[in-house]
Amino acid sequence: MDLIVITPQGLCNRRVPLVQKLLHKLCKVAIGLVAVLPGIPVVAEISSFESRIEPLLKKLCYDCHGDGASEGGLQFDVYGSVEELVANRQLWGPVWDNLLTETMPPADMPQPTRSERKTLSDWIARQVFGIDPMAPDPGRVTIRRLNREEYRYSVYDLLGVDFPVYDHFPADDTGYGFDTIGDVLTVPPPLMEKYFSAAEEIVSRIADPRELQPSKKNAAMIKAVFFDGAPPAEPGKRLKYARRIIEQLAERAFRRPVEETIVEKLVSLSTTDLEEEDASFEAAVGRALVAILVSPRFLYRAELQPAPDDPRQVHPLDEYALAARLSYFLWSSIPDRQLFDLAEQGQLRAELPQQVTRMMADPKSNRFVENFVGQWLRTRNVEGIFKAGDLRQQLGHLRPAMRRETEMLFAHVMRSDCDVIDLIAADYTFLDERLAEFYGIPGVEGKTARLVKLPADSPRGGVLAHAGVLLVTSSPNRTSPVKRGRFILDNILGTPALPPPPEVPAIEESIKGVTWKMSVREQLALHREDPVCASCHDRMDPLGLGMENFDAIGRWRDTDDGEPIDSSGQLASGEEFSGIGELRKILVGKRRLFYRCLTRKMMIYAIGRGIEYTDTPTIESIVDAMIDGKGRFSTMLLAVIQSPQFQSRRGGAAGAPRE
Amino acid sequence: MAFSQQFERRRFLRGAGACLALPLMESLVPSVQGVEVAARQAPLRAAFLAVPDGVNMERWRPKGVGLTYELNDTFAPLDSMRHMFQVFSGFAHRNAYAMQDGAGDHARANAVFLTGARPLKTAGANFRNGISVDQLAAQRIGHLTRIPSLQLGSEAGRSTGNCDSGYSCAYQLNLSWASPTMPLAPEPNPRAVFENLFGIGAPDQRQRNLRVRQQQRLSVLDFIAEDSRTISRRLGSNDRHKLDEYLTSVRSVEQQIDRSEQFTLAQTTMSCPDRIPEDHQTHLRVMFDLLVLAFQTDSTRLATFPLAHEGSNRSFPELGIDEGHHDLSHHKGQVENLEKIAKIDHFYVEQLAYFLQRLDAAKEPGGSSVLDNSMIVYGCAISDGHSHAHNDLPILLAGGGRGSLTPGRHVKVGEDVPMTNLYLSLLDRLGVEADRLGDSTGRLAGI
Repeated sequence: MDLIVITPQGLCNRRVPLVQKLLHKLCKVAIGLVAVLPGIPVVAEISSFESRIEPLLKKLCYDCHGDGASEGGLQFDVYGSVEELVANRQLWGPVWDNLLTETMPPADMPQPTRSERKTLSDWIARQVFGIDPMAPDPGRVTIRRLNREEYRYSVYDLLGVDFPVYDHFPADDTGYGFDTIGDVLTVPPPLMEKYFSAAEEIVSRIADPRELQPSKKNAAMIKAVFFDGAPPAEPGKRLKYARRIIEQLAERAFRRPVEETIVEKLVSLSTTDLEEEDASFEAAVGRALVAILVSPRFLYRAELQPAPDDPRQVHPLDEYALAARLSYFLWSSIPDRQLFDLAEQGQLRAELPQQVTRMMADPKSNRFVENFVGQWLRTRNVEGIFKAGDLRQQLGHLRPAMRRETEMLFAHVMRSDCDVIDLIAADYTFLDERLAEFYGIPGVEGKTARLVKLPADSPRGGVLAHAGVLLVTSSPNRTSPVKRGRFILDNILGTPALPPPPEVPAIEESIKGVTWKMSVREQLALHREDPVCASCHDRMDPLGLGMENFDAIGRWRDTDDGEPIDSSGQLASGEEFSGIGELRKILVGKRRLFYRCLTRKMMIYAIGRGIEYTDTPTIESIVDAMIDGKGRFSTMLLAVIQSPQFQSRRGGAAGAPRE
Repeated sequence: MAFSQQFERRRFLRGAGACLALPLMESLVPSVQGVEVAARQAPLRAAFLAVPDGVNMERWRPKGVGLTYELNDTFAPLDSMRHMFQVFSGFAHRNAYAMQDGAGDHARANAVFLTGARPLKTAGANFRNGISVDQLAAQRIGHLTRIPSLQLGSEAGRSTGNCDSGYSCAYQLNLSWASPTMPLAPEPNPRAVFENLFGIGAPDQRQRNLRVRQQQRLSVLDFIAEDSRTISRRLGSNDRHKLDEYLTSVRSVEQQIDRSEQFTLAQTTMSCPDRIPEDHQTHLRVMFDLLVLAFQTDSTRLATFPLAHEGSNRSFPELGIDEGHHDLSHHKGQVENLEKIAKIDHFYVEQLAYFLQRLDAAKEPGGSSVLDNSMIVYGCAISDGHSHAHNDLPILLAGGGRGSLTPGRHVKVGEDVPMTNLYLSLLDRLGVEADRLGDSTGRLAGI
């Protein structure tokens, strides 16, 4: 396994005392109680709209979105009735987002006070989306198939076999940027065939007598399955031993106690073989094991609840399901013995903070780093992305070190419980000799990557100056300020630009008269002359242009094609800057946006669905806690884990089309 | 549940030996061995190949129509084979256009290419497309061969992160759709394709290995089918839908075993490829080699193969092109970019030529070539990449369709004719009756 080096703990940008107490009673869940969601959305209070909301809209928004103005297609005062306006969730959703992220009103317009923002936001939550803060809606999740990472680690933790999933299974479909989304994880027939052949291959390593000669390679595997050593000779005892092995494997693989009838059936798959005198004991057990590995109880994480078709009923997850959610979130795998035992005793919820601390300290949490960061910051792409011939050569074998730099920073922030803002603000990074050389940082020797405090004048530090991130946000042969700008909006600030209009405006019309070779900056400026383009590119381009001193593989450069690079600019939110250092400072100042963005990403990954408007209050409360709690990683992680979204389920509507 | 009953009945029928009553299939004997097939009519095959990001239409569009048309530059690799294919102008994929859904033309172009359906705009929840032409055929005629259909792939890894403009990556990366909610992932590993076609292990052990494995699967299949019905009863309707998908696939594994009892494993002298080649062209060609063998041995009659995923930003250093394909496709009307796009188009057509030559060289027992008895669709649901146009699509149809097609021509089918009309006509030839597919409005006469 490609594990990340665990770094010395403690160093963060601003030294934060290591957290001792992780307990946050952020989002209380009514444990053991069935919560009932409001059946009918709260009826719009016309009077509250007219007395409190309309005046605010008039003051703050009507310059562009009222009195005949309809910028971006939004106008508040063209609706037949207040009811009609209030019922229009498609209108209010983006309004709410823009309000919370302070994208609107624009920077050059008068700004609402904090309490005005809150008034509007609370009103939208309650009156438009019918959200009752006392009965949070956990949302609907779809039963989740293991993705191929989870399959790999589940098999590894269950049997000690490292099955080569990348050769065997196609990449999983993704949604919302992650491969943990229940809705898009399907089991088409060819995949079912592959589950069979994978199970058979895995079992052949256990049931093949040649593999059973104790060796370093298979010791873990044999111990995991044949925990009491070689099978006894006496047939009755053999059968008993087989039964115990099968029951234990099934329980761990299915992540909950297994009904007697199921165990019986699994055992009966083996008994025909067991009764034959010269049949291999291992092969007989292997037969049941194949069945376990292709069973829906293993391949899907079913979370059972009463009244699964009643969208109004909210139930806390049972403790086994909670253990599985935790272990797949942080370990991409089955719960270990301790989690399972706690669930069995009904003590897991009570011990959640301690367990989360323990899980983070376990090297298995490196899988969370690889899989979450791999997709959030796209480090999974670093090794495969196309690069033009000469750039590819210059990259040589640096790609793995680039991927690890980002993973190790995240792992460090996680384990040292730093302020997560370090992910963009860090004045340190993780380098081996060759990557340090690539960055022009002296004094790093050896093949092992380690924490390096950056020189004061270094442009590096934070993921936006990581070569891997710069690499995956560039085109094969050149940088793309648009891609980089969009990456920051999507993944750092969480304020995505609208997708481009489907009919790409004919830039060639404006370019046709141009005879000189234009720089990227000039081309983009020309592009922004079209107001349709400008509305989003005003937000993307300055961010990307501020990073132009990094080339398409992340090297520092002062010139591009002989011309000096101008990395100054002004963000759509008004701030002026020159170069990556100042840009970084501005982004670090947008702490609330970053906390919110990371919370949303973590929640999508953990829960396996997209973020809905009903999640907004939970997310805002986590962001508040982050601001109060010095941005510590553990604050966010625990808050996500203790949120109603993570802790409970509600039914879906029976017979209704899938929402 | 209707499905469960069907499943039960099927198992019962098998137990009663019903498969013995099936008519003797022409594919019972693998033709690669060249035995006793001469008297039978060769089977008809269909493959659907997709290229990404549109083409340089100025270098693609043929001059003139009918038999005397002139091939454009991009077709140079096919020059000596012009009697083997026809070029179409005038097809459109209406549902690839934005309408109310905004950007995301590459995701939509891939999703509609073989379905003609309107993909629901979502990054995940409730995603929905339509069934694809190859899968519609596979559901009707897939049982005639040992493998109902193949989905080949040409990319080892998948890019991570969000896909095109708010569409789940499922839309952009899967050409074949077994149902509106069941995309089939392309298989990029030639080894896996080989083992699927010819079995696992030493050549003389493969048939036995397969038998042993499949026999052992039977008892397990009973167990998991029953168990998933038990679980399903305790789930809500959304989750039940997922378990139904699982159960359908369990059933298809069972059918696969039935088929293996009917059809022997084809044999080949090709050795099993050990990994995914790093070089793009080598990779495409080994996949084409396998597809030729699959058709020739009548292991399957249906296949899809994206030569790169829609929106691909691959660069082509081997052609002296450092830019990414997708970056180039937004050519801004600049000659330099358009030249490079034409080079990439030429590269892909060259790979097609390789495939067609191999199909032509593969002889049927009766003396005709496999290409004579095939229908190979090649093209893209985008014509001009810069404007993301989805009409006047670049489409080519190769093969003789077992005498039912008239290759060697350039056919103007009209203006904005649904591409799915062509598919309905191909389905007719495959013996698959279908009234509609996606946005189809009828059949295409005169191909």
